Amino acid sequence: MKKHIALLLVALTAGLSAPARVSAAPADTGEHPVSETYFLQEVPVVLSVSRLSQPVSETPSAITVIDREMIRASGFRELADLFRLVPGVYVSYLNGHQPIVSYHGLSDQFSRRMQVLVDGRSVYLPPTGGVDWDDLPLAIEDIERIEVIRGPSAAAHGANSFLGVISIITRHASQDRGTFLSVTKGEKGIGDGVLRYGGNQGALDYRLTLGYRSDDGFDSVNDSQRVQLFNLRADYRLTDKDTLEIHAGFNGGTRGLPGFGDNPVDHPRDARITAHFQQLKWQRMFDANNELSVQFYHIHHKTSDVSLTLPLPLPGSPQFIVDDSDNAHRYDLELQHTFSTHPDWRWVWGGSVRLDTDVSPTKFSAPVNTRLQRVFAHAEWRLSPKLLLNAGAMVEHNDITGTDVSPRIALNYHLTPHDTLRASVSQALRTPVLFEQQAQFRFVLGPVVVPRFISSGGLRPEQIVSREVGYIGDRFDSRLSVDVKVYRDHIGDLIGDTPGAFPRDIRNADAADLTGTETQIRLSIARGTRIIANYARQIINSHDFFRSYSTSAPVNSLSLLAMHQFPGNFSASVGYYQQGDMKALGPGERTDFYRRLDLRLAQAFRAGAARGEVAVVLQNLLNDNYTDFRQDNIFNKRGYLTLRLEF
Amino acid sequence: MKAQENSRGHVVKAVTASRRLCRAIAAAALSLPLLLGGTPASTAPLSVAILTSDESAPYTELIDAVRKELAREGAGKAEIVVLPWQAVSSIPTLKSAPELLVAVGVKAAQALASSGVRIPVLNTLIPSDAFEKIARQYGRMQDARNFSAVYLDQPFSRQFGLIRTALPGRTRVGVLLGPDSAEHYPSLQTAAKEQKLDLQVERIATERELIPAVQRVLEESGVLLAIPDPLVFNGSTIQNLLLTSYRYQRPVVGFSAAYMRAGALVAVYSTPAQLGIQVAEILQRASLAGTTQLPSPQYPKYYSISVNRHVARSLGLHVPDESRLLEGLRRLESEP
Repeated sequence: MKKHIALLLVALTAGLSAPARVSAAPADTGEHPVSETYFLQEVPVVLSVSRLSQPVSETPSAITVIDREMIRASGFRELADLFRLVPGVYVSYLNGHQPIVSYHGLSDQFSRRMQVLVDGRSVYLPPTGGVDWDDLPLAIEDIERIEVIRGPSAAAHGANSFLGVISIITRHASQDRGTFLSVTKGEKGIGDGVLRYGGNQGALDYRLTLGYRSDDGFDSVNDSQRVQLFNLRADYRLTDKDTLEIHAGFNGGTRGLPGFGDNPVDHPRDARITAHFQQLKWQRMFDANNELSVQFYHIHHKTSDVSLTLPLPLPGSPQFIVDDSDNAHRYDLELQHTFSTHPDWRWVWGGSVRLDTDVSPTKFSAPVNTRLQRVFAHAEWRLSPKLLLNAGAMVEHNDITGTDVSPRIALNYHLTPHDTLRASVSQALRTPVLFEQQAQFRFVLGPVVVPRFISSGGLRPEQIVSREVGYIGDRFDSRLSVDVKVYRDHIGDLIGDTPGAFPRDIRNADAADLTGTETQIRLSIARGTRIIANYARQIINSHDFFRSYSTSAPVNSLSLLAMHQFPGNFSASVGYYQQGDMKALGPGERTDFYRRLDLRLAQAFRAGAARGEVAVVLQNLLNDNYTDFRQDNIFNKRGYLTLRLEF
Repeated sequence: MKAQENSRGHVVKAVTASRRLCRAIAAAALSLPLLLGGTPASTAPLSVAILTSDESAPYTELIDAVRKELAREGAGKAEIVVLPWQAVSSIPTLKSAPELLVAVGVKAAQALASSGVRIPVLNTLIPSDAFEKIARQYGRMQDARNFSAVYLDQPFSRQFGLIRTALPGRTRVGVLLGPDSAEHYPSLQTAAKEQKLDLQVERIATERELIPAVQRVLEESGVLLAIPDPLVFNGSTIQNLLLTSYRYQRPVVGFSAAYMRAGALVAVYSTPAQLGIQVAEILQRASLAGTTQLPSPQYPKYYSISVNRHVARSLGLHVPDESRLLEGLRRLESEP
């Protein structure tokens, strides 16, 4: 496989010439490149109404932005780790290649109460609603920014935006021209490579990324991964008013599955992942304040997991073939219209239709599918120069629970141009995922069928009502920004499995009250010198039998990222992460309070026309070996070295 | 001249007397410009021929504004004849015998400069760079009296003044220079210093260097000032430039209203009509003074400022409204 990649890379870089020189401004007199036409001509609108995001002080929910500089300084090579920089987000690992990311906890190994979008594609997967972070055909180096909406946002972000929304936005194809190469090598079998080429042909900008990622996961756990990925993005300016965005990607490779305890059916083995997607988005700008976009995407995720059980403790010690493979598809078509008829109003409305299908011999008795249709509308209305109203709702119809409405209303009041108060109330409904509604999860061992989860169906959606009050302030020309949120959420009709029963059923059962506060402070002392500090405190009160929801998030968590640029192109950054005791849902085991310290040291350099950087990352320097999700997953100190080159 | 209605003979006498008076005044008036050294002109309206590079809206707007401004004021009259630039060779044989020519646009300026026509030319709707190149090419550089201009672009001092008025906190201004604009570096430095601003410059020679240069300049400055250069700012690069500046949360100061609509925060620019008024004023002064001497090439006197409110809001910038900005900028410009 590696040889093939190498050949492909050679072919790519040899075949693609330097980008064609773009034509000069039109209607010139030849000898005089700058004529009056240059000043008088119309210029295609770039920062249109849908591209301009609301300033943080005017968003209806608390929002955290992770930018490229933070991604670099954190030293993380796993995408999911980046969310440690968001107050209130719980990040853990079922095993070395299956991260769990959830805002406010409340998660088992499949975090299904979060909406996760990559360039507008919803990537939580049909059967279980979880996100396979390491199976995303996405290289961390291609990310422009990540926006995390801390709170329900179904009105704007669609189904599953229950606890929060993670929106990952990749770089526009015109932003990375030339060749980029990155190689990482380290302990724990860490070996990564990224090769990217960005070019341009007239009105077409494109970016091709090839990536390879491998590591051995946690010690003594069969959870190594070998990932090959490919990603393509093309931005094509059809006319001055029309743009086309094309995305496609592939992720494949082997993953070690650790199995579950000493279960002979679910024992350590290897699985193969094949995932790919295609996405097309057409945007028409009628004028700077009136835009329409239509998007279609298809995601395919396939896990091949066919294994032989260990000899069973039965006469004859029989072994059976277990096929826990999964083959999921998502097809989604969405339309969105953004317009602003007056500087004090902005409207976004639209709709989408979606089809999710899944084939899984162990989870379902037959191929399953579910359809979803939604319409949404959202308005921003400046009632007065100091008062902004955000109001919106989503109406969704799905095969499982019928029609649901999720409204949200927020008021932002600018006490001064640098101090804002926000108050918002939102309600969201979470549609049960296919597994919750139709699970027929069983192991077929010859003539014997061992059921594990059998869902009796008829589920109602989960409901959340979230009330929050927030303060956003900035000082010193935005060098210091402070964001404080205080909230009280009530979640009802929580869907979970029935403990103690065999097989387990999946029912709407419990309710939980969440109260807490989150604080985010960002200080920018100079270019390259920043401090980002996050603190979250949360109390979950639930009355389920084992009080498992109450302990599914730490009461206190803290994270700090500090970076500094030294003279001579040397930079250093320190990350500190602290989390209190907790026990995740499902197969999660108790994890104790821990502290983790990461360090990154980097030296940038020039080599002729190329720019480069050598960086060393050391993780968990305090060696406070903590456990992730399960007690087998011991995260100990590790380090790796990265070399980057751009030319 | 009023003539008294008396008897026919009386009227004739009065008219004859007034005519003699007129001739005397005319003789005096005629001799004055001769003393001053210019070409004598009659008290009849100034005959002007306007050569236009195109028939489209900006050119006709300018010409209409000239006409309107001339029609308004009582004194200083001119008679306008409009010709397409291709008719340049017909100028010497025109019935109106123009005493002054106005070239609207680069094509017309080029045509007139190369034609060897000896009539004084006032070029307008032309960028300062283009004018200087044409003047140099045809040896008209030191001949301001006979070959001058009202530029289309704004002086750097005005751009920096706009930044001081609209974005008072931002003292580090980033600028991208390409092969055509590199020569302006010294004047940019001077103008920035005068406004107490710190200039961060990145120079590029090929388009490949653009994106890294943009990122470097955005990291070092608080606002990006767009300096016209077809390699740096064109239909294809504008997307990346505005997107990147936006991602860095840096406002861009554009050089036309179109750039403001595209996503620049603010722009100071002169419309063709505003240039037309300035041209008309020059023609009027010439007509009144009875001379066809032109003033030295000048930047626009009248200008407009436009702010992209959506971009301002999105960047969290509190920019005063346009009238306050105009006031502030005018005040800055009137200071010594």
